[in-house]
Amino acid sequence: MRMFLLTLLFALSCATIVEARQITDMAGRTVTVPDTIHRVFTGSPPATYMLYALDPTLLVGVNYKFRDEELRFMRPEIARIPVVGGFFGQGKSINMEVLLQHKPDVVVIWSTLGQKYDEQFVEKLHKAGIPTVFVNLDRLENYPEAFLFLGNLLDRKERARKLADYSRDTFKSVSRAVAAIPEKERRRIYYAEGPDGLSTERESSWHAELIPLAGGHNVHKGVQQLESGGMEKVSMEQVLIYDPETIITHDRIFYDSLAKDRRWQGIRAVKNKQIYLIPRIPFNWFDRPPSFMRLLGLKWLTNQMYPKRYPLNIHAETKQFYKLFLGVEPSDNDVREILNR
Amino acid sequence: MALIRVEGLSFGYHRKTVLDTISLSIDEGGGMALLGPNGSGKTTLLKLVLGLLKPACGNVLLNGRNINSIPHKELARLIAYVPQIHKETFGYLVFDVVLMGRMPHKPFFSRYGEADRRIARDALEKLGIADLAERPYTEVSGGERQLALIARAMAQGARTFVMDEPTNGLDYGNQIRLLERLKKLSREGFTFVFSTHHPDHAMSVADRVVMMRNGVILHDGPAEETVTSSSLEELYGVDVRLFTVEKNVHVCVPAVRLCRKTES
Amino acid sequence: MKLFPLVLLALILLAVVLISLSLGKYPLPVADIASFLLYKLFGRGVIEAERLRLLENLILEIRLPRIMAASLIGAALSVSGAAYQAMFINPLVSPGLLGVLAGASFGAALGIVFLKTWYAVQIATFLGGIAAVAIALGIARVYRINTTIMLVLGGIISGAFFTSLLSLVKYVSDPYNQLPAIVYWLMGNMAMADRSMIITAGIPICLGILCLAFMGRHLNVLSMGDEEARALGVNVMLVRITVIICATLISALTVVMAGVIGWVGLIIPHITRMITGPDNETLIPASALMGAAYLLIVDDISRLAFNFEIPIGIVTALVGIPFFLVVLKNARKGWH
Repeated sequence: MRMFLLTLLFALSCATIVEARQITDMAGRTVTVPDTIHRVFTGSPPATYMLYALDPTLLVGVNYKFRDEELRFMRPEIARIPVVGGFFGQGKSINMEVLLQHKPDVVVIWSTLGQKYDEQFVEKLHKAGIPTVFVNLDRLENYPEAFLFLGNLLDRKERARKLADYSRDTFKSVSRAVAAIPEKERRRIYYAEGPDGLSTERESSWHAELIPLAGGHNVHKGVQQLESGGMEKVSMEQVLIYDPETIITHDRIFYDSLAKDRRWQGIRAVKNKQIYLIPRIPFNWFDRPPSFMRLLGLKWLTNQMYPKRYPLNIHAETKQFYKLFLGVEPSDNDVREILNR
Repeated sequence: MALIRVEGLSFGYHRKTVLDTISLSIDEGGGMALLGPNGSGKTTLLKLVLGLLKPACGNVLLNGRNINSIPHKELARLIAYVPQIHKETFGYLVFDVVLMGRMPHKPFFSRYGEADRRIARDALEKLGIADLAERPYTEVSGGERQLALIARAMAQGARTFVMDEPTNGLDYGNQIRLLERLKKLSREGFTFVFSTHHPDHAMSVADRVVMMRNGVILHDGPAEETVTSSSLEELYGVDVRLFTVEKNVHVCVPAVRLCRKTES
Repeated sequence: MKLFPLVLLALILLAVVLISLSLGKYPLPVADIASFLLYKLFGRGVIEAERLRLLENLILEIRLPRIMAASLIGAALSVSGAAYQAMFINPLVSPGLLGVLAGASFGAALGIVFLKTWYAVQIATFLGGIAAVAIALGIARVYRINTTIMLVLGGIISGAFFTSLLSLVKYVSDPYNQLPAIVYWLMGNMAMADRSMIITAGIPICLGILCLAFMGRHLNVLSMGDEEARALGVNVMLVRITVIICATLISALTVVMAGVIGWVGLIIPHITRMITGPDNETLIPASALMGAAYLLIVDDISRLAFNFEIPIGIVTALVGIPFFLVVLKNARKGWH
């Protein structure tokens, strides 16, 4: 009898061991995760969007309550997923107990630049027996690899391959077109943020990385020693000196005010009406928060700046992209609204 | 006809009665002292006479007019308040302090004029402190500050001064000097009402003394007749002796026994 | 009222204005500015059309409004601070004492999160400031408005209340766009000042400053104590309400124009008092002039030091506080 019980125990424990596997995450860490993963929590919106694109049913919780304008172009199931909280870099944090209630199998975090809170959070999860996996979403070019990695982890390989392929094709087609553009045709572009349009990102910032990718030059170089979290303030005179050929913004208040604001009239971009309002439903196509939407945004921006060198039926492309990544089919009117026409 | 008449005045806070049906009259010219211990209601009575407080019942009449019906600015031209000296935050010049006395005469948006400045200077000279005009108020002595406040009252153009314990906070010499000034001014026709703890001061400056305790008037009459050993004992509960040292110089001395050798 | 210091300060302000006009990131030689002004004011000289448009844009649309904004805001905050210091008989109070700055901050944040146009945000800012002071007065009225202590208490409560509401708004705001916008706005931002705003906000501010300047005598008397003031025939309640209304109006308008700029309302009256003495008839107008010049200089620093802008609220603190500490020893001469 005793022998039988011992064998049974041994067999059972082997069964649990066999269910796990070891993987190396995108930060080079070796992590033990369950074989099949059904329940995932992602720490911040960019990672959450990745999961949504792969398979939203895997998510046990979302980082914030999606707004109506976002839910319009998302799969309906997403509205039913409860809000758990997330890391937004401005102090909002996650309630551990709420998270544990949802019993995720694994937590996926975009680890950038060694954030302090990552370590504490990971430690707490470890104590609760939940593995954390780091994914690298630092630059848009990391996205194909990120898709494939997550596809492997979550057994959505086929889906991940489709998304990664689209990403790679995007990079190929855009960079080919951009490489052919001679220097003197390259546009000087100013990224206007804030309601007064006088906040911006510097050339080297990942916030504005679409600009160089699309073959443009970011007019704002920034002061070397003073690295900030973004949204650097510049003066109106500074913008006058920059005299950009193109202005790109997501702030509706600023965009609307440009027609009446006399101070901006002297700038080339305003005179030539080269002001682009960034589409942002359901998510921003350019920045804030950074997501896979930027793949479409990259095509859009390149086409806006160089329509002859990179011709594009943005209408059709939007429909295709939204179907593939977001799983929704916007109507023609919807697309017009998305494109701010 | 009395200048100021107080009729049946009562005043209290919450459930506490501070003044209970006070009546008295103040004639023009001369001084009246309110004598009494702390909490007797002297300060409250003075503030009611000034119109700074409203009575629960009763009236204060100035030349027959109820002071509540007199606009504040006009009242300020008739009666002046000389408060005790207190710690000042801002170091205005003595001259500027006296100039403030001209406020009741100025419309809302006007400036002080040359006439106002002349009146202020005259007031300072009259009190013998003209040389202090350009000094910060906070840097002169207590006695000089009190004189500056009296000068301000004079600049108001008022002929009646109401003073709350004017000798408080002054050193001995300054107290005496102040009392001398007050006596001089009272002979020039100003009317004084002041409160004090000191029977000596009451007797030396005032013509009339009103003794108050617990919100009621115990005695009211000419100084010599009212301030007696027995009335003071009734008022303060202490044993004092009164002496006349020279003509019109009265002295009040506490009879403190340092050691009791025998029962009396 | 001493005329000499006022004239001197006015000349200093004029000098600072002219210098600021010639300073800026955009390289503009002084000769060009001079010829432009000659052309505009007297019709002399010739400037070709393209250059004229550029100069008009640069000088009339960008620099001049900014200079006027800095002057107006500096003057408004200094005068409010000086008036409150007299009224509350305390040289350590600032214009935000009754909660106007906290309320305006909340209004601005609310506007940025929920409203669509910048005009609406400005209205919300203004109303927020007024609401905060109204609540402070209401709290004081429940007891007795005649005590300044109750007013201060009301202001503290109201200010704290609106500060927590502000935190709440920050919490629900979109952390990628709205929250940074709110935070930066509240640090002080002169760039939103343009010509139309200067006129709309500038006229009420000037009126408010003038009104407070005329109340110098009343503030002197008030600072001796309520009872003395009443006995001198001053309608204490009326004076107090007038001062509060004027100070609240102009302070709220400064937040509408450029966010929250601190320390000016506290420090400038002190320094001015050192020069002119505490007589409010001179002090109030002098504070206005000095405050205008000070903020103008600070704004010059904040827009010129680097090729990005340092929020002006930070510079006023970093410049003002050490300066204040250094002169504190002598500042006490103005009060005891």
